[in-house]
Amino acid sequence: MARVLGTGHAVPRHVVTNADLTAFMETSDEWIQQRSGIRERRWSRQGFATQGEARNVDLALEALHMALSSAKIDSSALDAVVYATITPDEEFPGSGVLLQELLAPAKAVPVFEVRNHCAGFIYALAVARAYIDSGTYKHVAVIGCELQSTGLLLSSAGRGTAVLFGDGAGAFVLGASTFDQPGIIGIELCSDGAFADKLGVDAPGFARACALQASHFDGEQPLTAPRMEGQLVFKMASQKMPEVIRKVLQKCGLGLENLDVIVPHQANQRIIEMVGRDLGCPEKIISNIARYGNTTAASIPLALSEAVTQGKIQHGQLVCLVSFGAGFSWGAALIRW
Amino acid sequence: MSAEIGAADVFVSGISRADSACFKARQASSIPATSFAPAVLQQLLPELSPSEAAESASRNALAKSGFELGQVQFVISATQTPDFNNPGLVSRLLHRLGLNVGGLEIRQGACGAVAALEISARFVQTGQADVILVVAADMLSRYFGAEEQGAVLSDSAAIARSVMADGAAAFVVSRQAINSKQGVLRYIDSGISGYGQGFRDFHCHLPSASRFPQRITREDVQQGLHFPVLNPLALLQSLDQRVFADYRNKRLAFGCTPTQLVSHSIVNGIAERIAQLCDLKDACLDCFPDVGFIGSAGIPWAMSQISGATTLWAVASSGPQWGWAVLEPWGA
Repeated sequence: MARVLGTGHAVPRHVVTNADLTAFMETSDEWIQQRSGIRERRWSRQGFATQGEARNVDLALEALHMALSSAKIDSSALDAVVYATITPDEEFPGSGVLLQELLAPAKAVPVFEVRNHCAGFIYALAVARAYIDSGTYKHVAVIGCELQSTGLLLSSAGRGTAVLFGDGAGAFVLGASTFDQPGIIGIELCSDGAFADKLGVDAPGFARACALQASHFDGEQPLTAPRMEGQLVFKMASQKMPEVIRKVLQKCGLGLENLDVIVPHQANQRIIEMVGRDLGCPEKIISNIARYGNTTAASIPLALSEAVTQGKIQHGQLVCLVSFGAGFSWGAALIRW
Repeated sequence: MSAEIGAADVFVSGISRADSACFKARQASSIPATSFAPAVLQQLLPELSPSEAAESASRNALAKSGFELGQVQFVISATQTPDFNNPGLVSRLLHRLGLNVGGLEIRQGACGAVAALEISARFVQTGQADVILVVAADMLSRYFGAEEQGAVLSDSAAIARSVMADGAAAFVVSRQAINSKQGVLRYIDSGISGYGQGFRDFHCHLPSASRFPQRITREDVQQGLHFPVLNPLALLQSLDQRVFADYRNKRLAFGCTPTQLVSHSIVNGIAERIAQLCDLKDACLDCFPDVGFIGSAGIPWAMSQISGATTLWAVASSGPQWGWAVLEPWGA
């Protein structure tokens, strides 16, 4: 059985407060906090970065090194990496090859690049777990990393999404557990493509000829910026996350009463509270969205790694990771810590 | 109908491509100074979106494999070119197929089909799913088009344009196979690897999340900075240094002797070099000369034309990354 040997996280150093955003758009600290619970976020974007701009892969590598250090293994012992992101440093072949380049002095390592948006980390965890459980690899790193800030529309037209997203990374190092050790005991993965148009970024898009053209930047809302039907996303996320937690618990022969900690995707504090209320255990939920915003595929490992360093997760506890995002795709993972 | 088999066995069946009637041929642009691209008839899919082509390939694969749509428990798509930037191809494909199951999307360049095969095999072996639909679809020609609206096309982008084409293929990976069906293969082994130290030989930088302050602008598009670029000489050199020897070594470790190689070239000569190293010079199938470079779809596209041999899938991709898989015929 695969187990989590170590966790790590990284964020750009520069803090962007809600007040900072008022320079670009009609908004206020009160408006943002009321709707999302977010007070600040970290951005790598120039103009906000005081220490130089970190690339997606820089954040990923920093989080990976912290995870390797906490797992007490060297990067040369890594057999594979599963890298979840929707904001790569290269349109193709992606950020995985950059990570390979940085890891290459040690050895050639396969890097699998997963594009499942906010649910990306849970999907990536399922891939890594399968490699460990099948005996293919001994050590696999799972990274969730996003650099959203450079894709945001800093104007009142982009306010609906620009205030929500942040940059960051989180990583796990997985290894095999022995029979009596804890580990990942269940993962449930779901999708419903009927809602593919409700949250996402249109361009570059290959539905028809010419994936990217100058006209895509016309109007107040360029096709390269994120768009979202917020109310629908809120409703579906609040519904599907408790549902999939119950499903994975049931599959593993466990109940809500067995759960010690829930680490939900950090999309919106109001959604997180709804999930807690639905499950009847708001006190078990980890939230750090106030300080980092929505970091997409990075939000779960970032929140979990922080909680581990703060001593909020103890050996033997039953931890549930749960996510929901564009697609819609969602999932939950149950881990005996 | 299904043959009971051991838990460790994994089968691949129904390898199919999108309906060929949808394709239109385009003569590739000539590159007088080099011979890295043949005078191929690039295959283009002007009428279909990637998810529509993927749907066509998926339905063909299911029909050929004998599995019903309702038996599919998971879908994996490998693509560089989703209908929209995000969510990816898999969401729209699931909707087109009317499936509400988990859907994973990976970006692995030309290694996409091999990586998706390997991940599905691991999912089947570990009980995550028993029947997985794997789709590889790339509409690489659509990176281009802005040059016709005045965007600057550099020499290296023109080379990329001359080889990049469109394709989609699909297959089913399962714990059990329907033994009355032709063309069922048993998965033996596979591997993916890479150093990443030569990715600039064939890549597309923009849009880039780490392009500050904005990942892509109108001016970037007008200057053609969003086009893929390909440097064939450097790519071949990089593959020579990193990839080709690995294929030879891997072949020695297969534990069986493939009699057929299926590969996919980015530029002329890659498949031939791999075939030479694997002693399969006379049994190498590569669809590049016929359809152009179709990324992740290249291997299953070619595979859809053959059956009955112990087959080595071997492919090198941008990065460089490389992947291989061995499959042997099973059943009828």
